[in-house]
Amino acid sequence: MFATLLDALNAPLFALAGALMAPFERAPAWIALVLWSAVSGGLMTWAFRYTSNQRALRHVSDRIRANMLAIKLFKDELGVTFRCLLALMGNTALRLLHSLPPMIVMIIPFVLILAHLGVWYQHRPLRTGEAAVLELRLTPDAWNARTAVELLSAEGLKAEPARPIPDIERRSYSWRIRPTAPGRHNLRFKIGSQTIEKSVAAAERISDLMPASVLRPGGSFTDRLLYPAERACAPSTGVEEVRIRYIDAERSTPILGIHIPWWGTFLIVSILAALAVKPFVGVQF
Amino acid sequence: MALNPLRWCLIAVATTALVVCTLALHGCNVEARASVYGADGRLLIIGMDGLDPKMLQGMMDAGKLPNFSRLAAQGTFKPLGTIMPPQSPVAWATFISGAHPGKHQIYDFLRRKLKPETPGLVVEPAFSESEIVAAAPPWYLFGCTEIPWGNLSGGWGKDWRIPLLSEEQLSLRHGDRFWNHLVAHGIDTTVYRVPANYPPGKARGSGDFCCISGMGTPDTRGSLGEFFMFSEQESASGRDVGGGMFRRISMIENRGRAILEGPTNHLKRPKRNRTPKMNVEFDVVRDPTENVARIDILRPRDDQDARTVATQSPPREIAQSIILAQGEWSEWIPFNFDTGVPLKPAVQALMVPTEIPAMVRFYLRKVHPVVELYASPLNIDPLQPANEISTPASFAGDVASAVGRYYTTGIPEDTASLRRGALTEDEFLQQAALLHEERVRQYRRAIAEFTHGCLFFYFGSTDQLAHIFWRDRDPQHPGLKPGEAEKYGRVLDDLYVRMDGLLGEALDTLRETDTIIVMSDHGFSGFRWGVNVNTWLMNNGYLAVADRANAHLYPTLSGVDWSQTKAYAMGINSLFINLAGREQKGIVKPAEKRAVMEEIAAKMLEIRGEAGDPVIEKMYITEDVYPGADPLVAPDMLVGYAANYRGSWGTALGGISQRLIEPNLDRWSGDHCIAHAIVPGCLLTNRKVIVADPTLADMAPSLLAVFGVAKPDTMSGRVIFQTP
Repeated sequence: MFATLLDALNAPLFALAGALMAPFERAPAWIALVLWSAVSGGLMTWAFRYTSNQRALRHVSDRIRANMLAIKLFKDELGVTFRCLLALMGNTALRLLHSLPPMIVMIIPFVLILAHLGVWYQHRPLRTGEAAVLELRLTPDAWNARTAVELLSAEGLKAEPARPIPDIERRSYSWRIRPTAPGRHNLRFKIGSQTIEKSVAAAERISDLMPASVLRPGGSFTDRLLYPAERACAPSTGVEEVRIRYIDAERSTPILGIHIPWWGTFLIVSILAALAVKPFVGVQF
Repeated sequence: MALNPLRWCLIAVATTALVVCTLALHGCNVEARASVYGADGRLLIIGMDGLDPKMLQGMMDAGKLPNFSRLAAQGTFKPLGTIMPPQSPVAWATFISGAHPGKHQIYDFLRRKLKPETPGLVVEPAFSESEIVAAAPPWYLFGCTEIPWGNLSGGWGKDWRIPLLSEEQLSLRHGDRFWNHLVAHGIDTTVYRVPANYPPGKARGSGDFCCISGMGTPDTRGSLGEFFMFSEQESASGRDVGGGMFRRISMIENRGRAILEGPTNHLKRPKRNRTPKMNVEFDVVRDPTENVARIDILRPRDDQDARTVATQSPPREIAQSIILAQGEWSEWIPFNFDTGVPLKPAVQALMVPTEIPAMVRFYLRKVHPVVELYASPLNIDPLQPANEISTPASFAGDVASAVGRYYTTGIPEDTASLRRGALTEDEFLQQAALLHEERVRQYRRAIAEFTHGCLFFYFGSTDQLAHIFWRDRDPQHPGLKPGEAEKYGRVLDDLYVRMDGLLGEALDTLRETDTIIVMSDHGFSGFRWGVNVNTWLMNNGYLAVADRANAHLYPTLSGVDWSQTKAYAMGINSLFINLAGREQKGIVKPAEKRAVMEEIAAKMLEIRGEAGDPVIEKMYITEDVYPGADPLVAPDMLVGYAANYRGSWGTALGGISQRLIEPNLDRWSGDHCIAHAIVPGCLLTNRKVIVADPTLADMAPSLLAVFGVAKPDTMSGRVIFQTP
């Protein structure tokens, strides 16, 4: 059920991400990352306000402040200081407890945002002419049934050898693919009596911002969650996954020459944005 | 916490003072010197190792090298006097320092270690350019060399150690460096791969200094470059050869697993006196019928035995994957050697690396009926350098980001794989072509970005290909095989033509005020005969061996009776006296040393070849030719072989052969490690040279003179240019 729901969500979210990223295709990749991270931070702050017990949080916050003041005022009184420290710890735990409901509510959109940003920022597109290995893995049943696998078409790509390399241990077939032109290309495979497609992103410059899907998932829920750009292969196809591997596949998105993982940038910028909008939203963390 | 106004004022004043001081210091920088040929004049030096003046002149006369001719016509083309011994590390160290080996203390590719690490040896050979030393932190004084992990954890993880002593590469080249003076005078200087400059070091001054290290740079295993040849053939099983190793790969149902043997795992304790190594496994999956295969480098796993091939392991996670057809070369494939240490983040927090990045290039030689797969030496990845290979540290990566990954080992032409039969001549030429393409990409980028200052760019293929293909131009070479001359006799000519094209590209970008120098460190000669100097010393009573009939079976002078030995040879041109008080078992008293050396020199000049020709052109007593030579480092004598002769391979490593002179049947058929007067290098420049006999030592002061920088006392060479 969750997998079906995820599949249903992924397609519109991928389209939405494409629309949001479209204005930044020609700009340095970090601009869109910073902008959408900041927007996400702002939205999460707003969501936090309406999903948390703000009154209770303010109350806890006041008590924390009061205890800190007490420590400052009675710093010569060891007993008072100790009691305040204990109270601080208790209130901090309470604050975390009050933050749990919004965290539970927000974890789903948060993971989805990260997964869809990952489509754009985790991997770079292939360079035109660059070689990659495409591996199509079958489920044990499909492999044992000797399901025929054939590459029907590879527009904008050169795929070789004509007959793929079989690998018994991994239950897979492999081709070497090379984009012959920039753009989003599709490979069409015939698996038994069914056909499936796999998209390949190619660009003249690897810094170009475009969604790069290195894996089309099969039945795995984790794969569906982490690789949302392409709809999962139907179980009836017998495909476990279709994966593309190439050298230095991970995208680097430096900001002012500093290399930080894209998710690190997302976390930093979204937290900073949340702190910045806090007074305007009137939220208590 | 709120800041009061006084604090605000203090912070504001301090910040302003900092900014003002920074600006003032910047303003204090030495004003950059301009070229004496014009304010915007640049200096470009193209080093072509082993470029032979006779061959160059011949091809220029035949009109095959229009750009070399153009440059010669603009200025000067002369032989460039080289140094004794004319070996690249010695010669380029002389170029860098502007002084003879007595100053820079590099005398041979190899040096002899008076305190060998191998038990039972009295002396042993080591590379002369750099050595690994332990860098001791302050707590080393208290005998603390590692964190006692096992004791602290109650025995858990006792197989592991966290060393507090780190290892550092130390350059053994002494003396000055010309770029120090350029940078000190504000002249931006970029140096690509000059030999004898590993680790690359820094230069202080207001000019920028960028440098990539060259000859002498190791691979990630710490060697000068060792290839791997994987094969299903039984003969490939666990065979180590000089410069590489053959390993067996067993294919079961068209799939096999093998291991890339990596560097020592410094975080793991040795077990049963076996040094723990880091290894990376890879799978070869071939098509059942077609000549194509997939190679998967697997994610690292701990506890791999270098000699164990596990073919039936469960599927592993793939780190990198490529598909190659038979006869194809791969791109550079980066991967990591993993120490496998537990609690990695904690270890990393102690600034101890837990992974060693490396890169490899595969060549699928054969798929059916048996798999044969070549793997290049495991080069340092310039994008994640495991060792310091450039100054600044980011420069190697900047170059790789711009033009792609590239060979980083000091001598990247894999001549060892050809000489050991892992690659054929054609395959070696393919490898050399790939390397040449990389170098050309870097060269074009360097030229395009060269807007001011000084640029040095080095090409080594002119040397390495001459070593290999010289016999194809030498009809009298004993190693020449039928048909080879027709097939490979033009390899060097073609290379010179390519170099001419590259020179032309640079000439087209130069301005009137620019100075260009094309130079080589030495020329070339045939290597028809190998001379076993230790055999001569033994035959003439200077070197005693307990088991004389089997002397050739003892490597590295291990069979020598040192109590009866007066002299020994180690290195290509080096000869040492077994001096009392210096050598572990020295017997020659210092007062007798001179007489022994003169006696040996006189007798060695009498050695004759099969045709009655002299084998030795000249003998040199080091202290005479190089005052200041360190007797603990320098050989006592240098052997100046005649043309077509050279110290044998065995002699270089302290071997004793049965025959004094042997025909050289090795593919390494040309050489230059002979009397230096026979193999001068080349000097071409667009400036007039006013010295009749320019030498390598003259180059450094002359480069400084181009920018009006006075010759420092550390340099003994002359200024060869006529400056305005």
